[in-house]
Amino acid sequence: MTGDHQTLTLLLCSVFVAVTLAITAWVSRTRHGSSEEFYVGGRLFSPMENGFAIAGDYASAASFLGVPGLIVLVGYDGVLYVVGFLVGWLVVLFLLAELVRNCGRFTFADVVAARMAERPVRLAAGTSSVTVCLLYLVAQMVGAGTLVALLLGRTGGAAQVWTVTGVGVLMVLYVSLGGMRATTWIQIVKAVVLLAGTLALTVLVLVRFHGDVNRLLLTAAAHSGHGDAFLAPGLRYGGDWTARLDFLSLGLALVLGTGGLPHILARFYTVPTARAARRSALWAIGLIGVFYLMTIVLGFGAAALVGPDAVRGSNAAGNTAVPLLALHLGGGPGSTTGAVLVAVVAAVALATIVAVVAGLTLSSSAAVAHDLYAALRRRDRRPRSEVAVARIAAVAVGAAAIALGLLARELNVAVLVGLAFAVAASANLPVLLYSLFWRSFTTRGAVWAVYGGLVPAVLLVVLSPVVSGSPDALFPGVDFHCFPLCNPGIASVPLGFLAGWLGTVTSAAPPDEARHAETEVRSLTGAGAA
Amino acid sequence: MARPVVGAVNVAMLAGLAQFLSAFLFAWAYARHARLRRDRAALDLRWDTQDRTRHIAGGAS
Repeated sequence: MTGDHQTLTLLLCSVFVAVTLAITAWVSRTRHGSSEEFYVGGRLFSPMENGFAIAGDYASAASFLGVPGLIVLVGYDGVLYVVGFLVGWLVVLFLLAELVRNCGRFTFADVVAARMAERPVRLAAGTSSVTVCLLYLVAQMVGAGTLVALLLGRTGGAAQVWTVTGVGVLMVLYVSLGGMRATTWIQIVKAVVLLAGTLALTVLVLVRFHGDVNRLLLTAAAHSGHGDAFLAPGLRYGGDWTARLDFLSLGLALVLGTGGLPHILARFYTVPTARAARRSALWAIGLIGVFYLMTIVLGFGAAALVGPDAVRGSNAAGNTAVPLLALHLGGGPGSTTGAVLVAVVAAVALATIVAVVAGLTLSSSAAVAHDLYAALRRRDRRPRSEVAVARIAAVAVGAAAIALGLLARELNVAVLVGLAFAVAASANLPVLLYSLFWRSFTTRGAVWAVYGGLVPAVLLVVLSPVVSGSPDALFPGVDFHCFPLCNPGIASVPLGFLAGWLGTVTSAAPPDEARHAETEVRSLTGAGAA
Repeated sequence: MARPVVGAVNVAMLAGLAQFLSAFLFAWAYARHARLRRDRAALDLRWDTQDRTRHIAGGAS
């Protein structure tokens, strides 16, 4: 890697950081400091703006760097990730977007608390939100570290530490100064930058093959070393039953997890009505779908042009496939266009990480201030301003994410994101669906549903091969794993639903029918919605 | 799944592509149904309930 292209990368990244900081400064100049302003940006975004922001919030480093890398290494099985990421949005559109918009104010715990005893429910939902956000944050931090290690041509070292710290400080600045309005605009800018960058690379790949997709696939299969098996399922998730179960588990987590991600659900509060929430989900599905279709082309393009050996040689998890593809498309190492393209890809990836991280920090600080602090503070004390608490929480979350990101920097980004999705699907989705659609759901059921999904999910992750007992685990030296699958979804999601049902039927207090009727009318019509 | 259909494109590829197309199609069909059949009813119900609560609460909501 030459000095020239490092300078250029640095320049492009500085431009993005400068633009986003300018947005933050401009937004915080006119802010009023109300919670409505800080958490949801005044609820005045248009569906199109929100759709772009959702795409910017959702398409993370795992999608842009991880998925093409997986396709290079395991062929068709890498495409399955993308399908899961998109199909999850149908769950959000059909079951959640409009109802959540009407029922809640700032966090997804509001939806549950609307018809339950407030304190225990907020405590449970706040805890699970913070857990999911932290897992997801760590994944993004690790992605940032990997990217910098690639650009500077060495692994580990001070540069990685400084980047992770820098990203952490930036996100705390955006969130605590600009709140949701700054976060949203940063995500919109990032979505445009990401889509433009991906489109440019896709067009270059297709031009290289004269628009002949057939030849692209054949070349990819020929260079993969697997032949025709590269284009069919089974390279990674074939063979024994453990691998097949692991695939089912991952698929379940991806499809159901999207609807349980606190930072995605919070985005629906930034539009004025349920109809606008639906239209922003439609925009998001269109943008995300097109983006993922392009990442598939990039993956097969990298397999055909760069080849799996070169990709594996640079990063064993495949995270560097897209930068290597850009280098090749620009004319190979040493060429000016190649250096320019790599710099563009690196800047796009860093923008991606920064925007996702800002959304996560905002939603975890909202969970701390609006749910945990509200549930735990002593009633006789004069309440401090919730926004002030949220700003302090953003700093604390940033510090925790930096520390964990440095600790976990050897882990695979896509695996970490899969774990965050699994915890979201087990702890957040059951309680949301029950409280929206089940008349006799009770407070005890809600609390049990959250902990009954959260505890098994986290426990099974700790006991899985991701943490111990395999060469690329978090603690490779020790072995206390007794759960064979990498992703806990297939066990912990049903447990979450089961615990919610069990808590409800054993509950001594009868369900509050009147409040359910009230929230049902509110969720369907928007009468009395915030 | 590995059976070729046209050139290098096999059944698995077509299934993956169909997943994308069906996701877009379902999203469009849902939005169309909601726009034509549900939005009006929800608005009417909202007027209705607010009208009733106004009579009970004396203009509160």
